[in-house]
Amino acid sequence: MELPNSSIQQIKTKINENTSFLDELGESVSQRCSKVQKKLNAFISFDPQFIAEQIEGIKNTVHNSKNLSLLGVPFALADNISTSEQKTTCASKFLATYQPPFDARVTSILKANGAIAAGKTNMNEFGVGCSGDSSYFKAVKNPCDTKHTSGNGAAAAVLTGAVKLSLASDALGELRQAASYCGVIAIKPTYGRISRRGLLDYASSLEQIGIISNSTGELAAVMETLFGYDPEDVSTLDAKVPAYSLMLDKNTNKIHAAVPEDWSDAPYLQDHIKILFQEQINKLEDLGIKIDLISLPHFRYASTAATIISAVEAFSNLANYDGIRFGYRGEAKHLQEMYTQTRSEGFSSKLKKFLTFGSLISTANYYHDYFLQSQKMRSLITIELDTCLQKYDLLLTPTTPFTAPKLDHPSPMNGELADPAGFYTAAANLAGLPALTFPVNGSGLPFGLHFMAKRENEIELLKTALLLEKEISFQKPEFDI
Amino acid sequence: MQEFETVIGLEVHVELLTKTKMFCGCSTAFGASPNTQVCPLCLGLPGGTVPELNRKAIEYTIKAAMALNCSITEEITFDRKNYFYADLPKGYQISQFFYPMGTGGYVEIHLNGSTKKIGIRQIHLEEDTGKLLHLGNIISSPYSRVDFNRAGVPLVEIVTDPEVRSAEEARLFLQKLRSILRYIEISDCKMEEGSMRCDANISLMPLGSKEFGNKTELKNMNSFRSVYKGIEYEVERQRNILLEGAEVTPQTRHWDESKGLTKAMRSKFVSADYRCFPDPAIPPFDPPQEWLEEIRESIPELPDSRFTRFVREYELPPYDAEVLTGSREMADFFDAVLTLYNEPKNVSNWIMSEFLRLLNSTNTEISECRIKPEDLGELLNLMDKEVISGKIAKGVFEEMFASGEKPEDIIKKKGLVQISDENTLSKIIDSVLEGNPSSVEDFHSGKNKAMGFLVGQVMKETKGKANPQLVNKLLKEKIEK
Amino acid sequence: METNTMELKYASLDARIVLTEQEEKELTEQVQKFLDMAAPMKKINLANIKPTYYGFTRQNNLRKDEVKPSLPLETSLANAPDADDSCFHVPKIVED
Ligand SMILES: [Zn+2]
Repeated sequence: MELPNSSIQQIKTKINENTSFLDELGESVSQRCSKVQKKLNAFISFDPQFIAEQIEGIKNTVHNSKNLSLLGVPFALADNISTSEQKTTCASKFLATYQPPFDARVTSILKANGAIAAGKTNMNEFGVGCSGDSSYFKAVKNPCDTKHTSGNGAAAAVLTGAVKLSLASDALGELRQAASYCGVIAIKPTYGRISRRGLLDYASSLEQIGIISNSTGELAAVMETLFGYDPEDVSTLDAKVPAYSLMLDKNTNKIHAAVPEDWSDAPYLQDHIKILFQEQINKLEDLGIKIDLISLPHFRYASTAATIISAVEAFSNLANYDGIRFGYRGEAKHLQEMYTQTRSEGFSSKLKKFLTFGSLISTANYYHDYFLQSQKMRSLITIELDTCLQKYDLLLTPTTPFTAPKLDHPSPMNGELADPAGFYTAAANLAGLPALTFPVNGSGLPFGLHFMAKRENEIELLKTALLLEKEISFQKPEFDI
Repeated sequence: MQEFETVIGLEVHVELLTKTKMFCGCSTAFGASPNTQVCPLCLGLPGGTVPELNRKAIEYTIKAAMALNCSITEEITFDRKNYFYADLPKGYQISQFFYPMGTGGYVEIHLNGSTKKIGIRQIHLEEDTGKLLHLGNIISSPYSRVDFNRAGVPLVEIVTDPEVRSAEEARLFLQKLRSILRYIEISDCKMEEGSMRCDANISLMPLGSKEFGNKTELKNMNSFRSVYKGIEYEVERQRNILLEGAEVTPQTRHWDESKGLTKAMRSKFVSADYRCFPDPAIPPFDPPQEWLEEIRESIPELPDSRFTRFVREYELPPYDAEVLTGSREMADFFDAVLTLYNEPKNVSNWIMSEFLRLLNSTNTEISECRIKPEDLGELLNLMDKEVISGKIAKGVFEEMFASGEKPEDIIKKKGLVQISDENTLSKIIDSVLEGNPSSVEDFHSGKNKAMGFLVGQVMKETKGKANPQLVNKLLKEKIEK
Repeated sequence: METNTMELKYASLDARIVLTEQEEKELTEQVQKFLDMAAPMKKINLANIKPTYYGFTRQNNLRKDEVKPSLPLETSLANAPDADDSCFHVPKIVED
């Protein structure tokens, strides 16, 4: 069978018709992942044996799991989401052999719903940034052009059909940026929609687990399964999860979207993105979406503020990496030397600098002017966005100012503490709002349109995505596996 | 010679009597074998950090803050105090740095017949650390072992204003504080077991000066006695330095109980500049007004108002009242006896003499004691009704203390009922007079001592059970005939 | 705002990280560039704005004080670089 072309529903139907299909499925997933791994290095952990074991498990219980929502659906988790049966490395030397003693909440939910864990995807070390250049297990290549980064393995694995869906974290927009680089759909839900239990997060107040998929309908189905209150995560929303799949087809009122008037001020904005985005605005208007340019004076500071907040939180969140209870330990004669050896050898150069930056910016000299100022800016941006989204259904921007950067040629922005890729995405993290990137076809590398909606109003994003999927003849980017 | 004023501020840590830790469900039971009461959260494992606030820990801290006359914060928040040490699993301690649970309270101590208020600057909730086990002492130990059972146990820290003026005041303050915290049943406050710990900031300034001198922080005082002795020593040490015209070095010093002196401690950290900022993973909690009212109503009558009541209503001497209200159990016991036997002074005498003597000599806590208040009341009633004599009563009381039996049962079993029957006594007196003619003669010749001897003989015959007044009366009548 | 190398050195040590000379040089430049970029944000008057430290504003559910199972000892120690059968080991605490 051709896995990339089978829908979640088709997989389920085929299994229910004949359980022997499961063998074929397992074989197909393994082969596909294998190829993708060879060509792109999308996975950190991928083990055909483990897939086969899961297939056996499903076979044995299939008689009472017929109606499981994700029966037989192959998925991948970014390697900062805890799995008790596979190591969880955060793409870091520090955790290269770390085996969590528990499953993340999302891992348990997917398992319980009959999905098949195909592997753990590659990423930037600890999920910091989307440059693709800080994984201890080497960079992930872009399926559309292997000379370019794919941002992370999660997006590459979905585009290439190695898996039907994948989960990764998003603190400043990393998930959405990678999806934009690879031409897939990704959603970062409202903060608290998905339990963060078992996520190895570096920026607690910004970071959410998000979902990557090739189709809006399937995305909706997965959201229904993964969203919901977790009594063991106080940061989850105690709110009813809408039946997205059912609501998706309901008629929509005319969509009213806003675009920040200074959207083209983004540093490193590529000329062709500028043109493409303008073209897309026209297309959307043709589809009946009303679009206004509006003033959002502080939107432009989102990435700076989020970078500062995330660096300070990372400095503290990663302080438990001390070589005592888990992970790497450096040789040392006494305790303090052990800390510095362990952390200087266990973390990449890039992460060392990022954590030092977080340490610096939280010292007394900088605390007030930068850290506190950023948290105040966050309040201001949140108010600004909430007000804007009272009036408009959506806020529209490009997802990234540029397409996937080249891997070997360090671009001008590679040496920056604030990844310029986060210019449009970070605001959603600061304000905890839901945001979705939808792939657009241009010439060359893929690129995404970025939509933000009101708090807990993910359905607006899904409806818009579905509209684009139907109306702008949605084509997957070309790639060769 | 120049005179100095001593300025002492105390920092008291108290472990709360919750069943579970501050942010996870691990048990806080004392004495478990190492690392058996830990989970991913309190062990600081990657991705194991979604803190769930323990309702009881918050309730107890609020209760303590109220009992110490503090005003309660409107919004309960937690902060991270970041530093590296081997007993600190997460690399930060969660505490209430910016907004303590309570501020601006006081505790009253009674000193030389007058009352002094010691200001409580703040009271806040924080996590305890793990425990380091050294091979020998910390300096020579080639490596150390770490037990994280205690990590995450809720601690309340109480900080006084620098208003304590002597070692004696410090001791009285601690005793009063312990008494209050035990009254409200939030901690067992055992200094020897470490559930109550005290550090003292000590400085001296010339008498009448307004400017504090350099201070030292004194640690490792493990009993009320060592708090007293440690502070005495440190004050004397500083006085000698100042008298020599030198300066006190600000530093942390250790009280060495066996040597009876204080020693400077090596600094543990490369830099003392640790960072504090709000914990991004623990959103604020607003305690509902009704809950606060409930907590306030659950606070029992505290030692000070009980003391006042005992002196005013029961007309007890202040010393007795102080002793009786020193612990809630004792005061409750006293009040309970009074409901059956309403002679406060009498009850107080019995408790202050017989009861305390037995408790001390058998090293028994009142909570473990087998005597019920109603039984003591009954015993005193039996004495008043002349069923038994005072002397017999003491013996019965000892028996009650040992066995927990009711006084009536002991008296019945041992046949201790007082003989007040004139006929019975007459017969015994007659035989005593008959058997001691020389004593009768002595009496008639004016030797009054003989009377005492004869009474003794009657008592001996009756094994002490004869009603003494009646014996005196009958004997007199018979001998003077 | 100018950042000097000593500040960075202390900051890295507070994070228990030792940077190589090269890393230190690169980071000094990066920080300078970042601070320049952040300068306009720093200048904005936000004196009357309350900071937001959290991803969501309030929590309403506190945990009941009921004991839950802890990890089995072997599991707790399984990932430790150095441990005996009940405790984690750390190197000598006091420097010679
Ligand atoms: Zn625990």
